[in-house]
Amino acid sequence: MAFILKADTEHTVQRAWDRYDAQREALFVFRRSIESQFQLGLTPTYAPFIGFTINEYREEIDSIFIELDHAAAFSMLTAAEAELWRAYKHHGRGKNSGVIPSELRKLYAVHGDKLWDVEKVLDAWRLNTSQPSKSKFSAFKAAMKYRHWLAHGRHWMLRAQRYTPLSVFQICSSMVDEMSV
Amino acid sequence: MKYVESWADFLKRTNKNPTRAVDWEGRKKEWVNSIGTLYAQIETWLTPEKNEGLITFKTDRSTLREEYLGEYEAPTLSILVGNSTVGLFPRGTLIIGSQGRIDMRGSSNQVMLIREKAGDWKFAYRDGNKVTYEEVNSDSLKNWIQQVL
Repeated sequence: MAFILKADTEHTVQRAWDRYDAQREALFVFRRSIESQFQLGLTPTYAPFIGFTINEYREEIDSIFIELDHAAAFSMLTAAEAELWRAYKHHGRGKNSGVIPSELRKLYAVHGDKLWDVEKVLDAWRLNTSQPSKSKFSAFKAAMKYRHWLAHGRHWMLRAQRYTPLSVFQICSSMVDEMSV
Repeated sequence: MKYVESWADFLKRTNKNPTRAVDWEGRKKEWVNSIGTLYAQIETWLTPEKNEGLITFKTDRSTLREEYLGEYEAPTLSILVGNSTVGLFPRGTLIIGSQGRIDMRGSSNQVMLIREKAGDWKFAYRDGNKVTYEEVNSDSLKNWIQQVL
């Protein structure tokens, strides 16, 4: 049977952040439970960590937190990217007036639904708005380097500013808010 | 918004069950003694080979540092087979799913000795998140010595 995934309109930056927040909280609860059992002289049990010393288990939990941060950042970046694609299709096929709809229409006239480079869509906004809006699109464009690094298997050294889930959330939600204005 | 209990509730909860009076000294002694008992058992299993001069033992002490227990010494055991050595190095008693762990290391591999409860040791080896156990007895000991050497 074919595996079909429908377009997911629920995949938003806010939803991705909320899921991340819930998962991180669950991990904190798990960690507190293990720590308190050790503190009470009990023997905590969790099958995947059997045999780990306190330090080994803490290192493992830390690495899970790091992975969770990357996964959340990727989820938020792609949710914001989806907003760009939706806008591209909406304005590309529509008749709204204004510089950006017009730029997107031009782009759509050339590439239609086959455009794959989201940075072209991003530039339609970035190059045709003034500050402070422009800097929001620029920040997102810079964060795309991190997105590519995550998406393509991290097989190169990324030189970029330090991104955290919170900073990525702020970058993504500011840009998405700007697009809806 | 995330649920955060009140400061008063937080203090009440944390003081209700302050670090239970855990007998850490007792636990440490019991753990260190259990290591000695295991080593004695290992030496017994290998007595015939020792008597033939094929195996020799060397004991030493290593310093461990564990939260709640502080710094303490625990015995190590080296099993010398020809020019090779298999070392048994205690890692601690505060272990997930276990009351103690000793690493048995040779030049090519290593395996954990996990103390499930008093006197009940098992070989345990990990493949990703999966841990496989094996009873500790004369046969499994000799088998693991060969595997880790």
